[in-house]
Amino acid sequence: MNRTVLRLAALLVSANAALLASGDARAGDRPLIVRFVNMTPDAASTDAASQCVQFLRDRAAQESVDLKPITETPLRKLINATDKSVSFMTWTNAATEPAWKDVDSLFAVDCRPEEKRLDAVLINKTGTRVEFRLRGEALDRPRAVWLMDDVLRASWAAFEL
Amino acid sequence: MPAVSTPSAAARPAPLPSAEPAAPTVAPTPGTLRLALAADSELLKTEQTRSDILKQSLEKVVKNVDAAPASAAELAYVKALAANPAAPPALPASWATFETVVLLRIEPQRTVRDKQVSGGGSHVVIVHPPAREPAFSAVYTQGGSRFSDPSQDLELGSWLKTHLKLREKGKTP
Repeated sequence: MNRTVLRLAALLVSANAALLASGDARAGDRPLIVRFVNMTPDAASTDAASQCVQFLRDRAAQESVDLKPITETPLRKLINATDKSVSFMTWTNAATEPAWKDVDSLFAVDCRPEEKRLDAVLINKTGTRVEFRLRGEALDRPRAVWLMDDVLRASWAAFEL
Repeated sequence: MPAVSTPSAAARPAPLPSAEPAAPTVAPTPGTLRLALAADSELLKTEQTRSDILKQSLEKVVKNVDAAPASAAELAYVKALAANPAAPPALPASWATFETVVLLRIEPQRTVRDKQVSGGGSHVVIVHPPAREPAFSAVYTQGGSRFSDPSQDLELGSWLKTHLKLREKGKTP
């Protein structure tokens, strides 16, 4: 009898722990929703570049972020930014509204590990805009974790339920 | 729907001007870090305290941390960088001996209920002289900065330390 009660108690504790560990289990909560676009130009889209972008996405997913991926061409059409000679780093909050009005943030990144170069911009629904530039550093998984720490922190800072 | 603005900046950064003075030939001293808060006016006591907290945090991984409000040259550097992040200006001469420079741009103070409060941060810049391009730069518009919330100072210190550790690891063959 005592053993059965202990097992039941252990099961309940485990179930509660699993609920607490889950990012979307709290009542009244919702995940951070980020529209994510890889802006690495085709000419620089190597396997290493794809892996770099995947590292960033993985980190966001680990943090229970609800990623809404979009590719470059439809995004450019959506925001009427078809001129590729204009860097996405100059995109403004107002001009990109169609890309973030239904999510919390738009995150666009151009990652070129062979050149040890990364450009990214985060545009939040609440008006915050952050430009990130990394130069001369290995763009591996630990570095992606490090960068996304700041990206997600800035995104959460503007989060509204 | 408004068309995306088309500023003159090209998709790739402009090449650095070749007419700039040559970088100082002094080699950086290993284990040195310059931490500077760049503001247009004198730092508030609270901002100075937060700088001290950061310094103490960084001293756990860097032997010599020089923390002081930014000089005029450092303030000019961060302003020029903000004006055109794709074309970093020449490094202030005083940085030549530092292995790492962390520069935080502090926005003008605000008055809230007759009290001066920090305007928060708008830029975080990490430079490793003599490399002219910052290893990392972030420009925060309308909040979200690493220096906006005093409760996150220890986290900022930890984040900066992680950068230094990753960089050190990257040097290992």
